[in-house]
Amino acid sequence: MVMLEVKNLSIQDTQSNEVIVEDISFKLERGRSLGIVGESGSGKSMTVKGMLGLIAPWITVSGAAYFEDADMLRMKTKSIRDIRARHISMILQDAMSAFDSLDTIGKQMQETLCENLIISRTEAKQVSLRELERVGIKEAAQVLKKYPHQLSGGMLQRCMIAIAAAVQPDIIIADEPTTALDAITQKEVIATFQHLQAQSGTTFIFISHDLGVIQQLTEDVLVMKDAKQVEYGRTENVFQHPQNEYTKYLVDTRIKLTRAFEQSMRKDSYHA
Amino acid sequence: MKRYITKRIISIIPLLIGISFLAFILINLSESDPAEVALRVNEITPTETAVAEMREELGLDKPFFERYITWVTSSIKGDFGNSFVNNKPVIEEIGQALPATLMLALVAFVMIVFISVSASILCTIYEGSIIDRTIRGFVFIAEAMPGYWIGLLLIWFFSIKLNLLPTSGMSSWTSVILPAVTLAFAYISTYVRLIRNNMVQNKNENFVLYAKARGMKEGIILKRIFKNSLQSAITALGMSIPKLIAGTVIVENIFAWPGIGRLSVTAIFNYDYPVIQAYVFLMAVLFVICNLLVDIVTAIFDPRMRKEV
Amino acid sequence: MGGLNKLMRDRSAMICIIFLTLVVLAGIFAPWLAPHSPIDVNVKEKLAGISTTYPLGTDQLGRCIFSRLLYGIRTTVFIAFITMIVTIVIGTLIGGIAGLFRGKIDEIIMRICDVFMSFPSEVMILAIIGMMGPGLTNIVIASIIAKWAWYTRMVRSIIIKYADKNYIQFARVSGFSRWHIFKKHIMPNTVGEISVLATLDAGSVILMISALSFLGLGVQAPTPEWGMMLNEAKNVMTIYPELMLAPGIAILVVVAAFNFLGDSLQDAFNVKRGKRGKRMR
Repeated sequence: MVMLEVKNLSIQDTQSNEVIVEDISFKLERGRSLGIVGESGSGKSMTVKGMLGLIAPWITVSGAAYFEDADMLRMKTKSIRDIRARHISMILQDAMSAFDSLDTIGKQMQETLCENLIISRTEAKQVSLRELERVGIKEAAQVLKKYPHQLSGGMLQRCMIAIAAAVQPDIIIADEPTTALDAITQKEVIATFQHLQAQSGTTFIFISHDLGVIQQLTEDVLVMKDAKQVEYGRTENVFQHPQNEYTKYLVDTRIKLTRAFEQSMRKDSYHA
Repeated sequence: MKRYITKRIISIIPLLIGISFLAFILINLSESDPAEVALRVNEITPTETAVAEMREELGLDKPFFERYITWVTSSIKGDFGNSFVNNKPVIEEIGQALPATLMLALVAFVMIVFISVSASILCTIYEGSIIDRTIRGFVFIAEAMPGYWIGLLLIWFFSIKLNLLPTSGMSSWTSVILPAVTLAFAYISTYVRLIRNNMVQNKNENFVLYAKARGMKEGIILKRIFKNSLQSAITALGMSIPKLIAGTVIVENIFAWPGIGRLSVTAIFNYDYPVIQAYVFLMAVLFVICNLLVDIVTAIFDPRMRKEV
Repeated sequence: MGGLNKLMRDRSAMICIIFLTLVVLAGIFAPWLAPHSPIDVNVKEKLAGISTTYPLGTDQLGRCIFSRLLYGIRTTVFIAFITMIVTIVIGTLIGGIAGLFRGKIDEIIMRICDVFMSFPSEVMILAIIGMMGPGLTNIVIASIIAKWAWYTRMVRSIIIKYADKNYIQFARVSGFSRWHIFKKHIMPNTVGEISVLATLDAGSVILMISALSFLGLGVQAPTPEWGMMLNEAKNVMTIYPELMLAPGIAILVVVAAFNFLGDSLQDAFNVKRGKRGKRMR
């Protein structure tokens, strides 16, 4: 079943007349997570932000983005707000700046849950605790009392995941969820995502320039370069038999890197 | 928190010493001998003996450093010496003039806070609209207008043309309106610009994007934007208090408002050094104290600040 | 230079530049452009309206307002320029020493700046004029003393900002001499940023100097100066309010042009704003 369909989506900055995204189309089926790959500045994040109307007034979006047959690009402010979070949640790239630094995590989590699940504050607190524990935070009660600057990037990232999951949306979009994290935390966060995918029926869109992440977490993949879509298909197919030059290049570098890494690992274990 | 405040208070002590020293050496910048000036303004011929006597009376015969210590210790007690002109204690003169200035500054401050905050919020909500552009256009012109010219235009329009408000002095409560508006005018433009730009900038911050993505209502988001902009607004508005009091100099002279700004300009024309010195010293101390209070208030508002320092 | 191109394309900024250049030229050539002497009193012609002989009429002493305005550029605008130039030179020297040598000397300079900056500049200026007496030279000196600390700080922070940039660290590692790094990287950037700040500040210096003259603390009569002209206009406000218009508008327009140009420069050269998240919006 197709949940989300994006047709010929283009985004333009009217101030600089720059084309940020050009003619992107994809479908998202329930249970089949999608990865969007490409280098930074290729328009990956803008594609999803444009779709959800999370853009500056001088940026125009054309084409169509159907969520359950309703075009989000032609919706009123209120209707699109009902879709955000409640149906399509987002996890932002920079967890450190995503939270309001003047308020505790608990407060911000609570307001999100009260708004979207229409529950009382005490209920919201219970849900918060449960969800934080579900994404692997042990001292959930402590974390709720903390201000954003008192927590690490990985912790905040997990709080965002918990908030997104708590609302039980149909789709969760994760924008570069692992970029700002160190290798070990990255692994843990990916494990959390895998756990969530298995547990809940949520479908994910992962935006990343890390092919490894995409390979592990998605069924379909869309490759973007310079605002355009260059390849789209099943993740295994795309990675095993890349058609486009750019995708080939991406996959090759990835393989080379992995080999070098594995070799060095082998050397290390040999010495040990 | 307590530690932060104590640390901040201790940190201003060297600053206060520096200020008092600067205020004191200013008098030594003057080309003329204060003793001679003191005699001249009282129309006494400065004969050599008279000058010598005066020097002794003013303590000018003592070494520089000793004079500084004496001056500081008596200043702390509120004794700034006597005015050269009428021989009254300076502190009395200032004490008489200060309430008028404070009242003027207070009224202007209320206007500034009220107008600049509400105009900034309007601009932020309707960014890019005709309202935003009108307010910004007004701010742009107001920033380039000399304050005293505004004062003159207001007098001409409201007092001479319409005969609505008194031109000068402090005869009734309506007298404060024109000087306060004049005083507020220049600052309002600065603060609208500052607070508006800050709020509009905050509007593009990541936390706003995320709040939208979390499905929060416009009202709640606006509140968050406002709260985040408040800190710099408080800093700026707090810093404006001493500037306002200092800025009364011109306004008080246009409107013949009997405050310390007028007192100090009169003192300048009369070479009344003790008055000028006291005025400068008190203003600087006020400035430092306001600075301190603003820092403390900011720290209370922003959880990030508490940990630092 | 991307910034310069951007500026050239900004039509309003170019208008400001042309206008200000014309003002400066008008000031320089005032003796040739002015139809009358700015100080000659002609009581018979007092408070005359606009005519071919008197393009902007005359004041209460029968002096040609247009000529006084032109000569006023020499006092109001040029004196502001002199003040700025001296202040910037002092600020750059001391700030440069603090920023380049760091350490103890930097510490001492910054503490002195703290003390100077703890006085509101209005109070500082009044204090100095109070001690030295009213007069043109004294207001210039006073303004310099009131402002040098701010410029020193700005220069220092700009230098430190560029000195800490990666490519300069790199140049240092690759063994370029200090002087080479300073000349090639730090100096051009600092000069650029300081001129932007100076443009932004020019308007306020003009306002300050004219305000002091308005109070009678600066330029002394009969020298034509815009603030002073307003002070004289004040005296005949009840009978002839039009006299307040010309000098007031002159100040307004020149200051507005400086402010506008400063804003455009700031945008074009991206001073103190960074490139933070244009995309993120």
